[in-house]
Amino acid sequence: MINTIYVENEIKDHSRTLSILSKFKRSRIIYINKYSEIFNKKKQSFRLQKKDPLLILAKKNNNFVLKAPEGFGIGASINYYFSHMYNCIYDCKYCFLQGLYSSANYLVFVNYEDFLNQIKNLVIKNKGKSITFFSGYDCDSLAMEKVTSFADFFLKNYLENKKITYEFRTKSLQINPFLKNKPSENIIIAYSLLPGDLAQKFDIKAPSINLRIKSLKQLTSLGWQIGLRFDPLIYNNNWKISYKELIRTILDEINTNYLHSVSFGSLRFPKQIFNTINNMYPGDELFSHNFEKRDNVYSYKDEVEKEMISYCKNLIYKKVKKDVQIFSCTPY
Amino acid sequence: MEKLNSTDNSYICEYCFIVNNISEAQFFINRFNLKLKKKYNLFPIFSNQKKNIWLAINQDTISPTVTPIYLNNCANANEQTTWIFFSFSFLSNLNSPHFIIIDEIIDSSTQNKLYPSVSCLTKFEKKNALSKEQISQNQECITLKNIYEIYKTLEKLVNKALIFVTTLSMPEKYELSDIDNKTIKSEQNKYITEIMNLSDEMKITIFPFFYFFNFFKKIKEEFKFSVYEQNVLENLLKQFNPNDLKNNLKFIKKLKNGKQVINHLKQKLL
Repeated sequence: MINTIYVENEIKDHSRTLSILSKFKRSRIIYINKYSEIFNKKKQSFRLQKKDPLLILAKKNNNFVLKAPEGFGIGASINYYFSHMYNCIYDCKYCFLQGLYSSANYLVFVNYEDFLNQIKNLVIKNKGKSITFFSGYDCDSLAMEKVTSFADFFLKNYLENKKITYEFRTKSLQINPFLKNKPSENIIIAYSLLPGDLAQKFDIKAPSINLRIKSLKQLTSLGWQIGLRFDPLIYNNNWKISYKELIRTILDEINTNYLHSVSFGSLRFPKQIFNTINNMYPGDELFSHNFEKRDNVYSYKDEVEKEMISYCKNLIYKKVKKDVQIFSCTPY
Repeated sequence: MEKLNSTDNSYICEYCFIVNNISEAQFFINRFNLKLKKKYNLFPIFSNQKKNIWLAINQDTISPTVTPIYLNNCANANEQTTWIFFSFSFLSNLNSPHFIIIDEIIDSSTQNKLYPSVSCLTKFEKKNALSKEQISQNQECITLKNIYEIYKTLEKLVNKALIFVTTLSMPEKYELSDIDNKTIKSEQNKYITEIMNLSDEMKITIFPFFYFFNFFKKIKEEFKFSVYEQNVLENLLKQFNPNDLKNNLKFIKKLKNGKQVINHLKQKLL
């Protein structure tokens, strides 16, 4: 239940605003001029707001689609990301969003059409080049789907082009829009995955791994392309057994003909984000194994990172017959 | 004027209250046994003997933007101090007193707005308030004198989550002279206590590290520890989740000595 909703005056009569508000009949609605009056204020407590987040409905005016960081991609020559929402309903302990914004409130931009328009412009500008557009960088793409209906809108209106791939990255089970629509080779639904015991500890409020695998199975059974994102790879004493079991279970369950790609990313934090998150969870197990600072980035020791990625890659190669694309993700 | 905070700043200021007049201050003065601190002469400033609870009364002759800054200095407040603005207000559509949290403040002259944080305040009724002189007749919206200026200053000084703008709204037929009424006192007592308790809970989430240090300090005051034991205790506490520590505090206080405390904490970590 969202207790209070802030709505920018400019979009108070927007059909999408009205549709979202109709889902929260008992919430207090406060009209504001700019979302920044609430969202960007300093001296807010992220952890406290996370206990009882508010919803802010706003209009995004620029930067609808941004260049993805170096090292973030699944094979295309150019990578962009877009976020119709900032922040996430889940509370994953390693998530960089905790250190990114001063507020944990959910900010939803209702002018979805502007995102698609900029995507179209970028496709025209980069004619002939392969491009991947990622959704789910500043939020989980599907977790708030019941409220936002963003994926539903996207699937009805996106630009189809052989050179273009769209990735919806998620941990959510809200896959209804995909189940209702015809599968497309341009769209990948990519799930972030951790071994079950680690997910229980660190993916707070997110669906269990078994349920995520069930959704993957459902999607591949309908012919949707899926991605497996082992990002971050988290170290503990039993990591080899845990990841072996996880990869085996997934590959046994899904139809691997629709496995588009697999990517691995180590647990890494830029210094400032590491300090913020570490202060939120003093003494937490997440930071207790083999952590070190290299070039202003906190991560596992180089040899640990390499061993984990190489071990998991081999497990995938052994199990999947077709030439599955495997990537390492190192955004910092 | 005397120099503020020049000597005695060993105390920890936990709560600061700001009100507009002595009638609004009376409840706090009685409840916390606050005494007027005569050495502070710009505003009437009160504190209790432990100096962990402070109160300032706005003065018509001085800009209300000064009040939070002055009280902040007098009370030696820090980022963990809870700030509560309290005022009586009147509404025409009420039948009985209502305690309300303000989550939208509108400046009467400029129509500018400010939005006090409402994180974790789900149980309280919330409304907006106009910042202007109180008028006691035909009130359809809440008016809280000075609140825009006070909040604007406060939100720059302290953590937004620890500023509570509160009012006890009464039916307009009430007069300020009725504030001795038992119902009103009991409403104030109930809700102000609830806010103070809630803010204590919130601080554990906002400042987990400080919670360890405060906990460590409390335990050290109650039991004797050798220097070695103090180090062991500090390291043990760091491994606890703040909420687990809080749940253990009552049990720990019943223990006989420092060794038992350390053994108990070790057991809990197993």
